Amino acid sequence: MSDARDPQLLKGVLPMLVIGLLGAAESYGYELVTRLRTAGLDGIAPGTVYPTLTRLEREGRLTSRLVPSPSGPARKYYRPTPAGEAYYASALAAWDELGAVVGAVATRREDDR
Amino acid sequence: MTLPLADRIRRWSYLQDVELWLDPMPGRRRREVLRELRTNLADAAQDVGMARAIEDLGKPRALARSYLDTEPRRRPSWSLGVLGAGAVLAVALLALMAYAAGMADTLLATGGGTATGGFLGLRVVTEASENGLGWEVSGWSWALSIATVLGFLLASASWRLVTGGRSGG
Repeated sequence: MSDARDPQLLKGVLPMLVIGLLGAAESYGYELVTRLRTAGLDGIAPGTVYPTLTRLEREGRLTSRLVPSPSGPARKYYRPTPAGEAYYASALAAWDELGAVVGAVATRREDDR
Repeated sequence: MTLPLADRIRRWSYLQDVELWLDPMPGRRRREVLRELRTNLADAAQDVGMARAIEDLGKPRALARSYLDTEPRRRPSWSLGVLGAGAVLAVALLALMAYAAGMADTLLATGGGTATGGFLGLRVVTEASENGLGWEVSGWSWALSIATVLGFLLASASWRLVTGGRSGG
């Protein structure tokens, strides 16, 4: 994927991506950053991901538990709450609808040429 | 795994800066955020080195702002308020020193003696002779007091106590 993404677009979809990945397997902050990079967001900055985790937890969409870590203080592992899963389903549906609109506009444009 | 001392110092220094800018966040959550950042930096450092791990987090002020943007309500930042008041006092002290030095210079140019002047409401007595220089500052400066209080109130964003400190995003 390209690194030249609109930061606002990324900011809008990041909570959905975070909950999506955490729904597949719980992770701590830095591990989640590496998973997002592996998923295609190569240039994602930890400084963008960590505050998102904090916000989602404060909003009750994520829950966390501390697990002892060999690298120092305990790691905080996150996973979605039922509210987070509901948000994910709704955000994914909205993204699909938007993607369909974008696809339709692009197809019409090609047809009209 | 234990981090090298240089890495721990670098991380400590970075987190000190973040903590300063996170001052408007409630204490318990601020400590949680800093504890988590400390662990994440240790994990990232094993992967890419501490310098790169810190660089990836961005400037402390920008990172703190990202966290504060997630807060439903921001508190005033009393630490920044103290820094603001200190800055006003430091500027005033420098100006007072320049004023007193100017008085001494003038006295020396006219053969020495004692002169009394006023600086922002303070009484400044300067004594200058070939044997040495001396100053005495007395009184109370309302102008300086008000400027210091204003510096504190503005730097701490104390209006958030009244407005409820709406989140920025």
